Amino acid sequence: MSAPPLGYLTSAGERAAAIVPLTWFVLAVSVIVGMVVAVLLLAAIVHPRGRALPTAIVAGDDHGLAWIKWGLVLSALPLIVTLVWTMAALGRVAGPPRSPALVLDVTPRQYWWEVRYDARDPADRFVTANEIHIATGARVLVRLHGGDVIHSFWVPQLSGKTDAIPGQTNLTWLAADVPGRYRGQCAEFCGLEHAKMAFEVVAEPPAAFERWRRAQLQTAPPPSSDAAQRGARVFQSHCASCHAVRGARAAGSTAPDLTHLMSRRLIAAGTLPNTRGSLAGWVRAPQTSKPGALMPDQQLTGQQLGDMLAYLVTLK
Amino acid sequence: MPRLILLALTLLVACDRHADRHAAPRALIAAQCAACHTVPGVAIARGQVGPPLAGIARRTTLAGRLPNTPANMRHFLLHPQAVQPGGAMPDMGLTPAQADAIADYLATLDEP
Ligand code: HEC
Ligand SMILES: [Cu+2]
Repeated sequence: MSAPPLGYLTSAGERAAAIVPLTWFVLAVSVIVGMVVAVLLLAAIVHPRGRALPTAIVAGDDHGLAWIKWGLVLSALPLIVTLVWTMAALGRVAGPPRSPALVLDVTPRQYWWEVRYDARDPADRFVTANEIHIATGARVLVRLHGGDVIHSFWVPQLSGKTDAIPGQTNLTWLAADVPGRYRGQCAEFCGLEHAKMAFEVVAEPPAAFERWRRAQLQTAPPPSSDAAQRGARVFQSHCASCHAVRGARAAGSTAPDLTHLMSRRLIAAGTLPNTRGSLAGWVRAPQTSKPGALMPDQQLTGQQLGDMLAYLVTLK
Repeated sequence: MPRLILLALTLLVACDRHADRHAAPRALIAAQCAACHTVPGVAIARGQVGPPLAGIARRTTLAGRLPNTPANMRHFLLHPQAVQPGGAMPDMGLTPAQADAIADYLATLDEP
């Protein structure tokens, strides 16, 4: 069996590591309490005490009061432990890192994630979408900018949930010890396609991360084949009002930046694998794969669709 | 009773075999065809750009022009644009082995 994509019972970074043991503890306590109550209930059903009034049982000489006292002590103990542990965990995870290795500006939109990589030098800044790369061992500050409606940023194996609220900027952070792909998910209902509003955090060794970052800084090369050139023209007339491709005449800002579309593993916020077939179907009819997404079906002829594919695959 | 259980188990194993034989083409269909076609047996294949493929094994004509034979199906999967220039289905870049596997699977879809 493969690991569940949103495995919130395992951790892959220091932030989640502070939370996951607490989750297990609370889960265990809840299961035990549930079982104890069930057993007592069964016992009461199997051995009813006749018609004696409850007050008589409590005040009588068969230790009724003792049951209540022990019950209180037994429930208070795990609650106090949970309280103290929760405070301690919050202390470790709540404050954002003072000197983060990387700062990201993430703006969740109906139903995708815009990701800006900040840097002191403007030439080192870039925009991408739906796939966040970080270096292992680095503490990454995420500034969550509220956009259209309330969303929530959640990468269970790396961090807890943080809401993005319109008009507000909330801080959260990520850190991964183990290289891997960690699925994230919008965790606050935000509209029709809330369930298909996922993203991936790719944690890779610093050298690989640096290679990825440099590649992302590149602008798109001018298309060379005839088909790709025709596709680029269709792109300008049909898609550029919403999508940006750096290096081409396309600077829309209401949809994912497509400059390095082919470097992503999934498209449409985790809805489809990034293959030729999905790209064709998505571009022609996003409303059948993700009804309610803010990209309308595109009335392209078969010829235009083929040219568009030839162009999109050059966006490495 | 034990016999019934045995029978059920055998059937289950048989089903599993059946599933296994087509696991590869089903994964391919999920990755490559799902955004355009609705395909029985592939849960995420709910696309509505192209025709639904339920009952494709019984259809007589492919792409409105070719008789539906295994060889033509394979040919169409490999070169949709050659069969239907300007059609909405792009050349998918399948290998011949992949086209065979998908054609095999489609040949089992005989219920409309
Ligand atoms: C009205 C604005 C609009 C137009 C026009 C538009 N799109 Fe989109 N597109 C979007 C939005 C919004 C999304 C994000 C949808 C989602 O995931 O919910 C999107 C997503 C995409 C994605 C997936 C990106 C990713 O990283 O996951 C691709 C590819 C894409 N569009 C291609 C195109 C192409 C090609 C055209 C032109 C033929 C086009 N779009 C026209 C708004 C638009
Ligand atoms: Cu949401």
